[in-house]
Amino acid sequence: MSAPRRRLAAVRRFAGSRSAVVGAVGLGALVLVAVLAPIVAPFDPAAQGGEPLLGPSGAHLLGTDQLGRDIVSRMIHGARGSLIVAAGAALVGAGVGVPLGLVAGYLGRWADTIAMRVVDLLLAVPGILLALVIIAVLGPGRVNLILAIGIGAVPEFARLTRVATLEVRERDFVLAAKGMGASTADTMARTVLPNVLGPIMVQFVITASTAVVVEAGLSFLGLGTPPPAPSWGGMLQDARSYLYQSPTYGLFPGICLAATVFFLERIGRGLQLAVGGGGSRAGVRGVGRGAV
Amino acid sequence: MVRDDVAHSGTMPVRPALSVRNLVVEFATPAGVVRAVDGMSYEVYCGETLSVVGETGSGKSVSVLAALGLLQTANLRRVSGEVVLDGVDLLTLPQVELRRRLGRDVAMIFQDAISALNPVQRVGDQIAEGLRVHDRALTADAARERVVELLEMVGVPHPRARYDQYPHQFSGGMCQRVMIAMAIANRPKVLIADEPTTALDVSVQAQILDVLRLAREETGAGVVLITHDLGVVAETADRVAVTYGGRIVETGDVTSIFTRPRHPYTAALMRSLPRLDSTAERLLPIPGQPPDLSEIPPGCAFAPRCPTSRGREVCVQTRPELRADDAGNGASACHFPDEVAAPGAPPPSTESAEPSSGEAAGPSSGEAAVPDAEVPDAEVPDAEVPVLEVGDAVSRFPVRSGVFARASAWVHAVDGVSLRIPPGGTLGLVGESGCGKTTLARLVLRLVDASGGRILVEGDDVGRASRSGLRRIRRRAQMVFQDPNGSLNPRLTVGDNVAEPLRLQRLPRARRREEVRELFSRVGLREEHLDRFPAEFSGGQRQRVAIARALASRPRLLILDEPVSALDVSVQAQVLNLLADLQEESGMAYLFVSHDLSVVRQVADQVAVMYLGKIVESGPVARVYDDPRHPYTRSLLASVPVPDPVGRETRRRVPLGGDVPSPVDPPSGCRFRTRCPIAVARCAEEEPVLREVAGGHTACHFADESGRVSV
Repeated sequence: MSAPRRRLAAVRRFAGSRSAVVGAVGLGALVLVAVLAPIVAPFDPAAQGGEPLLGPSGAHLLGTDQLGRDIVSRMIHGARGSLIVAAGAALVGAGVGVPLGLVAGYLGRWADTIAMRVVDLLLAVPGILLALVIIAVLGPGRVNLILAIGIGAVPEFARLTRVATLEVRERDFVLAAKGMGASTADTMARTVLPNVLGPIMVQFVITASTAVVVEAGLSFLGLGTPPPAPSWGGMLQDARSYLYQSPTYGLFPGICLAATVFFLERIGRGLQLAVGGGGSRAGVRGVGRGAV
Repeated sequence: MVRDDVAHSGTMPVRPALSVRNLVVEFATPAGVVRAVDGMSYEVYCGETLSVVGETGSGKSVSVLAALGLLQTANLRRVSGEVVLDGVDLLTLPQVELRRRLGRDVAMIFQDAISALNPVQRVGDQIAEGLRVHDRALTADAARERVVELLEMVGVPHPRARYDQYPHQFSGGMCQRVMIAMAIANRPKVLIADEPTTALDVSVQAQILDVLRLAREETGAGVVLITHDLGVVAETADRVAVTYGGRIVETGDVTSIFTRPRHPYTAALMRSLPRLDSTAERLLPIPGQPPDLSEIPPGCAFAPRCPTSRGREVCVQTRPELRADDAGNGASACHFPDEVAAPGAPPPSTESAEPSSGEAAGPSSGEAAVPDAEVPDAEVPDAEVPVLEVGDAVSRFPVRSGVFARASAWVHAVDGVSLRIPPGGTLGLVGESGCGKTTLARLVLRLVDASGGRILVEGDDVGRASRSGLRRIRRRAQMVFQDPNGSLNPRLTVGDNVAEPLRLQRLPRARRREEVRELFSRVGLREEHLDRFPAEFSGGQRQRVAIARALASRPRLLILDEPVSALDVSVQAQVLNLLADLQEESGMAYLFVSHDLSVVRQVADQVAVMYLGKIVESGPVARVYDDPRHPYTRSLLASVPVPDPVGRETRRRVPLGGDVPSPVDPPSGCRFRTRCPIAVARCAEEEPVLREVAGGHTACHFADESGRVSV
């Protein structure tokens, strides 16, 4: 029913910032490569048989690993894992954190107290440790990895949503919705939520970029994507052992990781600028981990 | 001092204190370059008050801020022209030089005095700082003495003790007095007051305008008073400059501006004002919307709304320049200045020709008043169930303090109020800020829970209603809020905003769309705009959207909480007329909450005056306005500035002293006694009850002795 002119304006603002466009194009390319991995990759990522630990050459653009597998192909397939984990973890974090923050902020009183104490509990444990514990309990695997990283991201989403909700709650249009006879759930979902979405979107991207790094870290520790499935973090870990024999082995997965985080960061910045003028003034930077 | 002599001798000095010439201010926005000020020129002489009057976005505030180099937004693109103070062009001065002059030669008084003061610094020290920055030789003791003197002058009681207090210990009115003291501390040549009384209540506004007058006499400064309030202009200005679309469209001395306006905008603005002394059958709004400054038309900016232009070619093609009239006491930027006051102009111009006459509205006002006088009692239509009946409603909030946030005291925002509104009636609820009128309005929909009393909407008890019962009641009684920016969901299109109540009633999507179209046409909005977002509309249009939304569930009662106070005068009249039409069409009842006595007189048939949570006087409009028996009502009416400069010297204005006492600890007996001019010992002991007096209700011991009440 709505021709989203306002949204268009936000898109224009987003497109107007160069860094955001760089991020979007870069991430787009990555996603494309990941989706088309079986087509773009020159070799089967699991196929062994080449000479191990080759440097870059015509046949193997970036060389081969310790089992003679093509590094380019493994990186292309590894992008899938990294991106799925990033998006999945951010979705889990937002999916749990946003409703929690919304309820806490809007209902206040005991709901607020309970929700925020749960969040405090999560915050008391460092994120990587939390992920370690969760994986130790659930066992390794991609889904568990997503859950582990996602749960660690819940507090940030919950706090951010709560702060934004506290501000929006006092606005007249929320009172107006109540005055129209809207139920509490309806008011929260239809009136409050859209007005706190701006900063949440930014947080979503930031969480995704953190998840890429954490996933790599966990893979590096051997708790991430289980072999033989390729993942950037796993490759880094393998490369560590052969740092002297084949220095380029670890270089490229590292560059890919950094680039992905960089692209997501840029998108986050762009989003922040684009939605900044919207419904809520609560900025992302306003609620760090230390905020009460 | 020389400038005092000039001011007191009354002769026109040769050189103006401040002269602004051909000022242009431009901003870069996503929509293009906005020329907020488009070649403004004005000058102010020592000892006189020049009032720059105009609506929102007409460039009046921006022009002075830019002139003093106080505009520092990132998107400021250009400030050009000349701002001559004491023979020096301020725009060419380096920052350091400019800063030396600010506060010494020219000082500003801002609208929001409370936030203009530093909250963590003692009030006296803030003024002293201003003194010592410009006079290094001044000792701390001497500065203190001077500050106490200044505070005394602007009417701050106990200045010696108040010196050491912080801004939060001062009321809004007192803060504005402090601001004035700060501004005149260095005896500036020019005082610029930007909407100095807009944030204040009428009774306090009258006090501040007096202080401002005193400050001018004391310093001999030229005062530039920026305001949107024609009443304030008429009370205080010597000369007037009217701004529209970033330009000055008319200048002249205050009397000729008000009696013989030579620009159609000025004339139209005055016609659209609701009046305190009479009720017009209909207000005469200016049609259309203020111009969009990013695309100013080549011709006259007012042409699309102008009654005098009548689509003439020259108005649309050529921009009229400001030309002095033959008599030499004013200038008008209109191609046809002589036609403006002419009685033959399309809108009935009886009012514009002689805005001061009480019979301006003609026989219509008489007609409107008669039925009111004949039905003095709300009890007459007893057969009908009143749309709203409030019985002894109480609402109190705890004041929490201490570690355990225990309620240490209670604020009685609403303390035993009873009222009733018959179907199709309009009750105007007036009072100053903090009197509890908004809380009362919110009680009706149980947006705030009542602490006691009974509220019936069409016979249904709001307080006892179940969840679904309450939802049904909230459909029959709808609310329109003061600020249309805040009351519309910014993430929904206006069409979806209006459809919200229908969606909540589970109307199918197609039906919703249809209904919304109809509602749009009823409130005078264009259907094509259905899919736009609220931010794309002006304040007046947004308020129409809010009204359309309130109408969607076909309510029997509309609660209007200051529905026009955020709007410009010309648009305000449009909305008030719309409300009148809607009521006539549908027979809705209105609870109209406002601080503006003139607006309430225009719309209401019954009025209730609130003070500190209680109704002190109520009755038909004619009774309350023409024969007020409560001293509070009287003072309130006397405080409202009259938009008519004729006879302002002789007009008897008795500003109400002091501020509204804290509702946490209201005075014993009669709550008004601390500010009442006729209070006696009995008032402190015995609380007056609201009783029937002369066809209305008044809560005053001396309501019968109308002679004594006349202050």
